[in-house]
Amino acid sequence: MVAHQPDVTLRSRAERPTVAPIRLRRALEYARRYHRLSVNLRHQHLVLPDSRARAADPANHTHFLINFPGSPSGVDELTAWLPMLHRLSRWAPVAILVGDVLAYRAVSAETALPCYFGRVASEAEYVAQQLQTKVMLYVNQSKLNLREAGFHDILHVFLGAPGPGRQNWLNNRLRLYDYVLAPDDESKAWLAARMMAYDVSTTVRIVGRPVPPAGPLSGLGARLRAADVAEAGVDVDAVVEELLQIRDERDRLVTERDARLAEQGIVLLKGGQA
Amino acid sequence: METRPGRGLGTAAVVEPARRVGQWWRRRREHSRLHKLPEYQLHSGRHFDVLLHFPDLPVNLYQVRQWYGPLEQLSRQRSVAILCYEPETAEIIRRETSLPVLLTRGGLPDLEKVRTDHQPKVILYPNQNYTNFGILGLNTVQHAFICHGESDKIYMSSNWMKVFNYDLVAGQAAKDRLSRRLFGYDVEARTIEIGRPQIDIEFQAPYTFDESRKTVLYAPTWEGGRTSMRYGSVASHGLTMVSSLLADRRFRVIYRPHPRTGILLPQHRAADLRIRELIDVATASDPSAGHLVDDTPFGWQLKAADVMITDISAVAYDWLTTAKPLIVTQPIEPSAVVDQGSFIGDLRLVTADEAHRIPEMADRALSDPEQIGRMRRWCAYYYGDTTPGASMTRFINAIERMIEERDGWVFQDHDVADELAAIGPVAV
Repeated sequence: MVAHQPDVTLRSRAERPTVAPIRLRRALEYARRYHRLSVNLRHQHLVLPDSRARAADPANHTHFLINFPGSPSGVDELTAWLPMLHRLSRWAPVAILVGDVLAYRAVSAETALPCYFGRVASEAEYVAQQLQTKVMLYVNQSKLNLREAGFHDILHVFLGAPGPGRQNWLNNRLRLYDYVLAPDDESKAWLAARMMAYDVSTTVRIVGRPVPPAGPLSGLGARLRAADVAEAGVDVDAVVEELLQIRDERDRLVTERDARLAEQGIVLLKGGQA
Repeated sequence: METRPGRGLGTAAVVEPARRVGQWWRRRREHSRLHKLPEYQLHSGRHFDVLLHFPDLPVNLYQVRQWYGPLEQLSRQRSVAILCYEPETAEIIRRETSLPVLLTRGGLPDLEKVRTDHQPKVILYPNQNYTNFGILGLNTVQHAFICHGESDKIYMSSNWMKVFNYDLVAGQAAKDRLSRRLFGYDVEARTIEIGRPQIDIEFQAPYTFDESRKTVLYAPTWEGGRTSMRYGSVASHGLTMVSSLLADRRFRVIYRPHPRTGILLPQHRAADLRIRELIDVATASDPSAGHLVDDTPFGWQLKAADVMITDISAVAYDWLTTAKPLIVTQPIEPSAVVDQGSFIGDLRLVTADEAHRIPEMADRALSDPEQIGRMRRWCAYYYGDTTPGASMTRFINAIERMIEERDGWVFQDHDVADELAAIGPVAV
């Protein structure tokens, strides 16, 4: 056994980005954030009342809520999954929770699935709670996922994107989720090899199709972002089947847990974080 | 909720972003200034086995202050530092502890730098700030939640506990809480019991008391931001209880109100002032009694007091580590939730109508074997072995265990196919 650090763990000094581009990236990032906050504060009144009213309606509930707190620049991470979500909605109620006004509008224009707005924690919690969400889905590694993934009595599932998008989500933060739907065996192998004591056998489910042998043209295609995840190699039927199973498992877990605690005379406070 | 743009939101759309830009500019300037100081340069390239991650502003410093002692103890055998994101916070911490303080801006390149320059093996998290999510991407580190005080708050069994490699819990109560709340979380495998290492730190008491009187610590909480959290007893019980105790020569009173007392409700502010006046008058008439209003750092009071009176609040859990008698008030606000599953639900709470009987209740709490036995059982359930040194030993052993596991994993020959490198580096 060779005692050395894995080659991926440390980046040499030569590989590090130089200071000037870092400063430029930082300045651009702050400018982007400033613009986004300003737009949201100016325009959220156009979408929030309607979203809250629909969430408050007892007729509206969902089994699956897709969480997208991110900025409009990454909205293709969500829209790439729309064909799968449409397929899923044939079998169970599906809704989308968006945390940015422009992203909300973009997503609403792309799909007939119900969209809700939740920019701040209390609004997001209100929507998830009112809709009696059973499974929360995540399509990126936004730091605000930590907020929504705190909700109890919901199973939290990460949808791993195929192709070059993999480098954006394959990391240690995946521990947060109850399940990770990985597009291919390579991603699963990466997780098994590079996350300490992470049980891929129970947490990670493969939902990809076999990829055709790589040639010059397919190699080029792999570097381009596909229009949707199905085109890029995700088996939509497999995802739907896994998600429905996860929903059923969640129902079973909640029922069994409540019955067990009732025998002990314990009633848990419910809803959101509670 | 008012959502029309109107004047309020229209103004907010301009003022709020402008305020944030100003904040960003000041923060950037402070970062640059501090990075040039020798105190920070000294540690810029050092490796640390253990980092405490604290990205917060000074308002939450109480969460990290309680860990200075245990970390200083740990630093005798491991290199330990506190990682801050806010310059103001870093400067305060640097003045308050001998531990090295590191300052990062918290962006992606900065966290890469933390990994490459400091190469931490264990990162400890005293809170659940969303900013934690960035550094949690490091896969060569054991990430452990250490909280900032045991309690039965829902926060302590949040689903996001799953993101940490380990949760260093106080005892069996915490494990049961997690088992009840979380699905698919192997409590036995992912928690390590450490008790409350803070109780093994020697605090210098700023006062000394003779044994002629029993010392009663009255430490009420504030009025709370929401009515469902209105647990504070200063206005409802406080005046009557304190005046009854001051009138009884068997007792000495240490009054330690929450720093936020009275900031929202005038009646709480008025009651607080009146209690302070009563104590001043009592002290003037008999200085040897030793009554006092206390605003010193918390810790020494656990040893100095014989019995504590408090409200439903975190300080009750700190007191529980002593297994000494505890009296808790019943909030007069009907919507204030009392969790019947916690140890507080097992206590008989003192109503406002009974406040004048507090000397009698304190006397009984100090002598009733049934009450004393009950507190000991709860203490063991929440904190395990609280004999001197036991908690600290378990805390340090937990860190050593995590480092050993981490080193074993990092230095093994990972069977990763070459083509997997195409997926990319381990991102933060």
